[in-house]
Amino acid sequence: MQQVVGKPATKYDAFEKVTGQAQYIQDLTQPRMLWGKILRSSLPHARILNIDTSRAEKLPGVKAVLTARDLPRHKIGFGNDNEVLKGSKVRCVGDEIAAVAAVDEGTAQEALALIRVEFESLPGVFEPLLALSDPSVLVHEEKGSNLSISYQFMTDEKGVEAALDQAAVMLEDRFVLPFVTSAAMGTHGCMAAFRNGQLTMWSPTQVPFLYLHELSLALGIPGSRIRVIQPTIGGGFGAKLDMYPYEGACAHLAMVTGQPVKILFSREEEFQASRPRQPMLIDLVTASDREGRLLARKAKVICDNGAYNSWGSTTPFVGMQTVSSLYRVPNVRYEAQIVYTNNPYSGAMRGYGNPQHTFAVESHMDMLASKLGMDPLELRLLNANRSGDVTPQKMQITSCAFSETLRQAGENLGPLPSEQGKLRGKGLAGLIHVGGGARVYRSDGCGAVVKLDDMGRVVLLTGATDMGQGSDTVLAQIVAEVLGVEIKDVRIINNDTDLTPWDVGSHASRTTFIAGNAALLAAEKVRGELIAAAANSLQVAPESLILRNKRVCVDDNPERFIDLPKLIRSLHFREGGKVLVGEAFYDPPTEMQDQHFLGNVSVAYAFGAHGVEVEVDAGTGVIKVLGVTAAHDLGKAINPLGIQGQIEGGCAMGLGYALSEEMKVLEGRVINGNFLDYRLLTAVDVPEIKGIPVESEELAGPFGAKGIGESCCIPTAAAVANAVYAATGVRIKELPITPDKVLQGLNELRHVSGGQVP
Amino acid sequence: MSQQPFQYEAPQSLAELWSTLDLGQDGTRFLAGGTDLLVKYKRKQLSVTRLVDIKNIPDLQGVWLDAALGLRIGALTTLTDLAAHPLVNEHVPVLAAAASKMASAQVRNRATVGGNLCNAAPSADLAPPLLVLQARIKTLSAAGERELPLRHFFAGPGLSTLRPGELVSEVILPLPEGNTRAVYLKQGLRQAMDIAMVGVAVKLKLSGSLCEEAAIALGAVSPVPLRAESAEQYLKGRKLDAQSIAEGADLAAKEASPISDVRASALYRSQLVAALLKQGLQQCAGILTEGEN
Repeated sequence: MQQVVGKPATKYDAFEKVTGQAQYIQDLTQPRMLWGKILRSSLPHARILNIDTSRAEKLPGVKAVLTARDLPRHKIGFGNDNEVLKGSKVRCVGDEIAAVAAVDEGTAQEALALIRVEFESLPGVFEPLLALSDPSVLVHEEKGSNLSISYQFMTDEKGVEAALDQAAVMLEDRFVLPFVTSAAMGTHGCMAAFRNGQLTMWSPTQVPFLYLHELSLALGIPGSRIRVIQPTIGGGFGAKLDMYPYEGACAHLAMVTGQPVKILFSREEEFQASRPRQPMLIDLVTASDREGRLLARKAKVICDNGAYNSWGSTTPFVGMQTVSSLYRVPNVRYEAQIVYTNNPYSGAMRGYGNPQHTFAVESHMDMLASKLGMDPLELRLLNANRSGDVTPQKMQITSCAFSETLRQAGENLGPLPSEQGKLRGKGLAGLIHVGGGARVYRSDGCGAVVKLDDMGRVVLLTGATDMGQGSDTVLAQIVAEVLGVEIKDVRIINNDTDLTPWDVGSHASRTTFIAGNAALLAAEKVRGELIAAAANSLQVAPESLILRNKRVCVDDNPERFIDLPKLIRSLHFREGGKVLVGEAFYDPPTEMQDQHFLGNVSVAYAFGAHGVEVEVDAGTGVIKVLGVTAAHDLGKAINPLGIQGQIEGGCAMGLGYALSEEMKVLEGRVINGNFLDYRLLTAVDVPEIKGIPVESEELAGPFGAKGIGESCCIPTAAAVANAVYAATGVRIKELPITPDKVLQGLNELRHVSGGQVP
Repeated sequence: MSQQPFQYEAPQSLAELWSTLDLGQDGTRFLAGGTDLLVKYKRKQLSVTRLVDIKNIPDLQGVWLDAALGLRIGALTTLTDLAAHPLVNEHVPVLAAAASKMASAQVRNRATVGGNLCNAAPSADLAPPLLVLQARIKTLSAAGERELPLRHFFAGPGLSTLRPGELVSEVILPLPEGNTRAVYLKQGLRQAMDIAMVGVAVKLKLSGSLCEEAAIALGAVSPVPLRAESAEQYLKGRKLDAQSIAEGADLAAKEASPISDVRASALYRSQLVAALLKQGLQQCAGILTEGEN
């Protein structure tokens, strides 16, 4: 019987966050610290003819002004197509041109205004299709085309064609996905200090060790001389996966001034110059037999990469999995092209390409059901993945409660009775996502050290980053469970690369699974030592002992026990004594995909389904979401309260993606970069969200758990689109689903049916 | 941040205000709630060299009933106070309802009636209900006071007919006659913290289902908030039924001249005028009893 795992636990850092004690990058300071600012391009595409910094340098209080001339020309970014400061050409609005350090923020800002940049404006390209077809504007001339990366996955080609030939139903549609941004409460920022030839970088990165590596390449200094410290992170959502150019500039400013330097993003910079979710055009073909069994899927995807490659240019890895492996589909062809434009460059954002692809695939599932005259739930259940399945990309499905989640979320689908002038309906959408890590890098591992001291304090040193998702709480629960202590007895240290063991980072919903397994293994090592010592002390067999209430006690005779601190001291304070430390490195038994995109990248896969009920105003097209039921196969809910938080947050994000969020970009410039016109949903817009954890007990997971972080925002938009269709008969294939689009759809139906629709 | 510095003063009375006011200075701005002014200043959309904080001037505050003139609302009345004030709720509940739908609680605690009008946004939420209530604006300046109908107050997006050195001191509302009903319907993309894509105010004087008088005002669909006069004239003296309501709604939509912007397309705005007005007329006439949007 578990004491801590599976019980609702208040977040580990909740108290310090709600009382304002948590230290975000905005709160940090250092003696003699300077403020850095970045001069950003106001043009989307231009050659830099000259940069005159002389007036800025003369401004009292300015300590350094750097341009590309002053820096080593190391390329940065995924695919090495970016630079810290741009010397010859800018490729998007917000491109970094110069960096200033001054004694205060106002002076640094004033200095920026004194820098004169002479540009030769170049025509820009802002539409990926145009960028591909017309090579007259090249974002990166040396590449000879605007195609950055292409991906292609295919099962047997003849098989695909044959399946399409014999299909009873074939659908072909284009789905259009806009720019959205995570709009994290905590804007970007970093602080750099050079002391004793060592660089210390405070950064809210979600991947500290990969970040350290990238920083070392960008700066040209050995990684062994860089230390990365993470302050409390005010949300990452993927946008903090990349090492940003401004961070390299900040380190250089600290280097040349010999003083610590901090740079913070304004909210405007956050919109224009942090990494949004990529817009996509998805041309999808879905084919089935007469009974509704899927025969084939084909997708051709165009991603707007923006000006440079971020990690986001690899999101087709994940989108491809949805096309090939969400539901059983034997024949698949997938192509994606990542296309350079002069738009803001896209990155990772919760779901990593999956929300876009799931929108297309799950809209099509509903359209297929409608065409076949089938119930949308029955169609899905017929095709749902099951334990033991191996998908066309060789993903091995272990634990799988997909059907159960579909049933839970899929009650009462279709049009629903409503009052006059309103139209009600409920829609469903499912999802698949990695749930047991993701080997997208050579290692998918995480290290952990569990240390007990003579006061009975338990410390977990872990590489895993908590950016607000609640992983610290889960890890503390796991360690507390194994060692028979309370959560508050466990201290987590996870924000300093000088102290913590390596981890690939917080992405791919992997932290509970991977870091949880590492913490579990490390804690079990210590537990073994405690049991052995207690068995010796109590003169009983080790297998008769359990750890509970900070004691080691005899299982069937709890009156015979030894207190944990006392036991630790007895091992420590004696000749030949020792301290109790257990370490582990958990790297899951998975494989990287080969060049054909085949391979089991994750130990386990997460499934889930969202059911959304909407009410549409027939006169205005306004959609009101009445409720969301979100059922998730998460293996095991280690912290049910945390799960509820993840689900509510994910659904709110998914509803925003569905209904109101769109980062509007006009000729490369974000034109709604503020919280009035970038419409995140507010508390009054978000309906009741019913989160249903479905526990499939994943054997390889810590206490049976799988990842959930990203899953909860993935199918929401598709479920909303399906609900709007159920309510109105209007099929919207382009997000966001605005009242305007719905009303035009209703008017078209009215036109066609001569007034049948209310 | 590096903003132009400005001179700040906070006169405690009108007398002190007039004695220090220098009309020759271009960047003089009156500060009330600051919820529009300071945002524009920070975005460098407005030059400010002198900021005259009028919040402490007693003559601009308060809500009271005047036997001769009607309801008088001091320009410094906050949206929160407007929404909660017993006199407002008793005599012009449509205004309280409109105020409660604006921005956020924090903004409503600061923003003022005078500020919302002087900011002269085409989407100002107080404008349509005040227009149908036949509001008059009282202004003050060193030269004295004057009064004008609200419909002559707006001159264009962000522009009013206030003269240099003049400020709005109060809004005067004649008390609505009996058998009068009014609603304000606002549609944004979300239910709070939003600016109207379209706002429609309707006031009807009814005798059974006969419409004796109709006043209709539209926000966010033309350079200034406007009265939909052809729809008003059409409805006057007509029985309110499905056909006359639809016709009136279509006439109002034709009077609107919306633009496409980051918030909505012009076509959708026109359609929204008709849809909201239809709902508004139905609600006033009691044809449908469903709640407001």
